[in-house]
Amino acid sequence: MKKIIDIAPLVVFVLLVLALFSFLQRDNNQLNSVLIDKNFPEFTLTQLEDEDIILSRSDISHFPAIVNVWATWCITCRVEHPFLLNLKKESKIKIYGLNYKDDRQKALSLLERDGNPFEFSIYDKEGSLAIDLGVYGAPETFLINSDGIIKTRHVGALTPEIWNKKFVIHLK
Amino acid sequence: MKSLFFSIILAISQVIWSVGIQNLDVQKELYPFDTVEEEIRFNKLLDDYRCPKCQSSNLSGSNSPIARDLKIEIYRLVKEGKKDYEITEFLTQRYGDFILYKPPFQPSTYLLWIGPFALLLIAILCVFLVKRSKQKKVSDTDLRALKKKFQSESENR
Repeated sequence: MKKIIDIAPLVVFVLLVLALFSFLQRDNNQLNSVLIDKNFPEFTLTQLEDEDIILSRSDISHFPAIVNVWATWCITCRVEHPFLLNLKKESKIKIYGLNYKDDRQKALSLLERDGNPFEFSIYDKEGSLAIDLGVYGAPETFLINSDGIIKTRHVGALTPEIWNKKFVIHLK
Repeated sequence: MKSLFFSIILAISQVIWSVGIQNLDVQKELYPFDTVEEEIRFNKLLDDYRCPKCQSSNLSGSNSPIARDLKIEIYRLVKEGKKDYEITEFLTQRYGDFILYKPPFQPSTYLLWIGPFALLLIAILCVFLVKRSKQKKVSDTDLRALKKKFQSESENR
């Protein structure tokens, strides 16, 4: 009994260190989205490519799909761009863009220069849909499964590794 | 030398102070309110919500774009006459409980809320046990010494 009491503080300390260390390993930059297992939020915004076209939730109609939040001022988005172009080429998944707090002209010329992986882009000048989506840093990517339900969200540039780990599992 | 040092400190603090005052003025201009109550409520709310991007500061202490957008959104909600709990609901429905500096008491946060008190309790318990075992040790040796003394005295007799 006495021995147990003697080593108890050490055991508690070691457990505490292990627990805290495992928390340290967690990636705090990936906040869990509240929208997982929910429908895509309702919205009314214009299309980037044509300001006379009013888009709403029902225009995101081909599932499964990803909605990618991007902007010309976002450097990481440019790093991610080739991945999206490649995804469009090699996968059947539909890619919708959410152009976030951007300049319409700049955004259009970037797509013209670097290629356009998106079916269309929603033009969210004020970032209102982005707030409804809980966006806090571009790029962000939401996966909508074949039932139209949001299944995962990734903050930061997509890479083949992340795609395989976080997205492919929901595409069965 | 000392006075030079002092005057430098004074100058720096004056600059910081005036920048702070300016920020306050800018904030007043950016978010004008009709009543002082609304303004106080607005500032209190900005203090209570965490910036989702720069996670160790609240909305009022952050200048990141998303913090600015959320400030504008909260300003709009306060102007619309929304209650505090409605604004909290609006934010947590989008950004999760993470945005609250004071998270709700629920299974996923039990450890967070109870943990420190549990640790304190364990610590007190440990101190108590160690102290008691030491006391026991002392009394044991005292007893043995007494016994010896008694024995040697009785042998001498």
